[in-house]
Amino acid sequence: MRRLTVPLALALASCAPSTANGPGAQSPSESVALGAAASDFTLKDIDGRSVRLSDYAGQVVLLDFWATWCVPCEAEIPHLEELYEQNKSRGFVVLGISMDGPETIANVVGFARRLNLNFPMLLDEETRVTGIYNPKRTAPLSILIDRAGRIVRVRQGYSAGDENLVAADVQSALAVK
Amino acid sequence: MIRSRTLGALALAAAALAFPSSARALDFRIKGEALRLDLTESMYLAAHLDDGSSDVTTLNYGELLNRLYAQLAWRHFLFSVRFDSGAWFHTPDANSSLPSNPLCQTMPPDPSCVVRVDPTTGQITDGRLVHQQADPSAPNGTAYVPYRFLPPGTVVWRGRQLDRKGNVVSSGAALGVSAFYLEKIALTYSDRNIEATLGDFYVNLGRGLVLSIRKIDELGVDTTLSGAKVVIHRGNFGAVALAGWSNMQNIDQAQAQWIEDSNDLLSALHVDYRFFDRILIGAHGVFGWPFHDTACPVAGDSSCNKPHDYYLRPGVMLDAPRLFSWLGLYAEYAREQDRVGTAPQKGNAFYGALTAYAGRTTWLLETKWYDNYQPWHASNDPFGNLVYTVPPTLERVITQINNNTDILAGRLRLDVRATDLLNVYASVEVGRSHPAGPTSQDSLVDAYFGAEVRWDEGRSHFFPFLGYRAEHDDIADALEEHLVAVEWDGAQYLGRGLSVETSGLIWFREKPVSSAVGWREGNVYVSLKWSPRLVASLGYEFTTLVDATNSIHNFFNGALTWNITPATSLGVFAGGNRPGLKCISGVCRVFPAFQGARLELTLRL
Repeated sequence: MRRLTVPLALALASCAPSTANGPGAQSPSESVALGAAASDFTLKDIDGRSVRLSDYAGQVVLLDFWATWCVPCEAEIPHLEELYEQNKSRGFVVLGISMDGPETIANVVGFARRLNLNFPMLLDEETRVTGIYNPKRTAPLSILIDRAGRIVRVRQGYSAGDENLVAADVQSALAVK
Repeated sequence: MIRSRTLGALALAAAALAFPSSARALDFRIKGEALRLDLTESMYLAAHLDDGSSDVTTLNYGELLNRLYAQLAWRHFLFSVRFDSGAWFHTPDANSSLPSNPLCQTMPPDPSCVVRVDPTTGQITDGRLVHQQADPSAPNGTAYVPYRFLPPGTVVWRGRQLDRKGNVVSSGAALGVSAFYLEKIALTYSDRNIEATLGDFYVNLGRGLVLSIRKIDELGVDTTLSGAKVVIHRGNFGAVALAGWSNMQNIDQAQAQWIEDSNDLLSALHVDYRFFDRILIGAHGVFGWPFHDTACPVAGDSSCNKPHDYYLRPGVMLDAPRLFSWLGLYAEYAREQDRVGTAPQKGNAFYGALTAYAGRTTWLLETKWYDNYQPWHASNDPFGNLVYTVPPTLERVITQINNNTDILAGRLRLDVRATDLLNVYASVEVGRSHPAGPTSQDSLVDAYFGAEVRWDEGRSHFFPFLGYRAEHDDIADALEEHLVAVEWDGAQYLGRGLSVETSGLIWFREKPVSSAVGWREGNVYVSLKWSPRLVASLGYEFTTLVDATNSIHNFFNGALTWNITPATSLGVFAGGNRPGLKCISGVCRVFPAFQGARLELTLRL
């Protein structure tokens, strides 16, 4: 599209963060530190209602980017449903964001009901919100947002056992009032 | 030799690696207001060895591709950019291919250098620098293949385009490749009622019948519109207005080629209103003005006074996902009112979906009627996969569709939650199409069945799948295509974060236009995973299709992925991937084989 010099890109990359972060911590026992503010967005859910991220201000929110054609998503999502049911009374919500396009979006409802999913399922046909939070269109990709609206964890992919780490992150975020 | 600007991109990636490994974005404060910087870096380094192709330009070269996404968010504003870079080294010399067209080997090439011609249709598809190579499947045994490697900064004159009679119809234009450039840029304002974007954006209206410009990574497609877009939500009223020029992803990874932006001008308007809090009715119209005109293909030719091509696609839609508590409905109609090559091109498209909920079952009835509804291709579309409309196909997203422009079909799908640990689904589609106009007729049947079985509290699973597809030429009473698909994905949790997984697909195929005899193709993978850090896998890919352009039919590979953090990973791959036609949502392209090694880094801050 256009040419730009390297120095501009290097300058972008060299900006220093305001929060001090040590090496990546995987231990579930560590509390989750504060991160940066999550951008608000509006999407329609599978019932046609508009849903806004800011509608859940004050709650711990897990954004889960998935698609009906993504097999690891199929493996992961029942664990998220279980996590949602166990913690929704404590102010936790999962927002499933489907990246299905117009060719597979008709399958989303059947998929959600087949897996007995009760958390809000949003449709991002345009990949507009995906472009903000998941520019590589990785699936699955989860983003944990704390009660103050800050991103506290980004996690890509799924392997059996990852659900324990996600649950630990959620518990840590819920523990922060 | 890696150019200095690409070394800069490498340095950028290295600098980014030094950042904290926990991906939560970076937080700043301006006058007490949070400003978020989000960086996602993606680097791909590969060494291509002998992939068995008869095209010598695919052999023994290296490549380094890089993408850096950066976003700055402050209050209601979001500023995003994406930088791409590409460099190829130890590239084969065009002169090394034999037999070769000497007219295409000079720099710049002779103006009569032959253009790329589709061997099936005889249509000119690409005016780039090309060379000849022997291809028994092509007319006269000769195919014209574009030479792919253009050193950064080199200006190459495009060969003149020829019509089917060999007359020159285009005078040519300059090409060039940048090692490092700005691919996407956008500034967005968003609040509860309005969202406005200046720069690059994606768009999808309805179910893609009139306009769908999205990212399709599986085909290497990432087209946006560069211009302006406004989205309004106010109570029950919604509207979208946009205009812009198409902005393609310029570096095509699969073919190691630079693709010029089509710069087609598109504009659209959509309005909708939600009635009774459950029925959304909308109308939209899209107008397009292609940059490359088929009526007057020679740019700046003042002697050509034919009217310019245009695309006009109006449509209406109804969306009621909860028309009743047990029923959802979607319906959309679109009209094609194009003018292409001075001739009007008219068509109709209707898509409908009815979803019924009954206890543990969900029923989906879909139908499509496309009456000469032509896909709207970008005016520069070298691989036939850059389209602005993507009508629903009714089939699985990876099904190879032969015709989605003139077809009447319907399908019924059932999803069942049998128990908490067992789900099943099944789909049956029947249809009738006219692939070569009203005098032709094909019948098709497409059916599949799948299941999801889980145990170990959902940590272990087995997802089997069985599919069948048949297309029959009713006029000639002959087989068009026959496919039996066996696919699976399984995982067994071993405890302490360890699991072993297997996935694969095997397709048994018959397609007389591709091969006189049936063939098999597929992939089988086995992985050992250690949550959350490591994934090790072994794979086997194969095809028994006898193809003059590829001599290797069995591909073995191994890969190791290290998840440095939950959002940062480093992957190493060695071995091969089979070639073949890959389709996503009815849009297809041919991918070459790969044999060699590659390293992929994804870094998120």
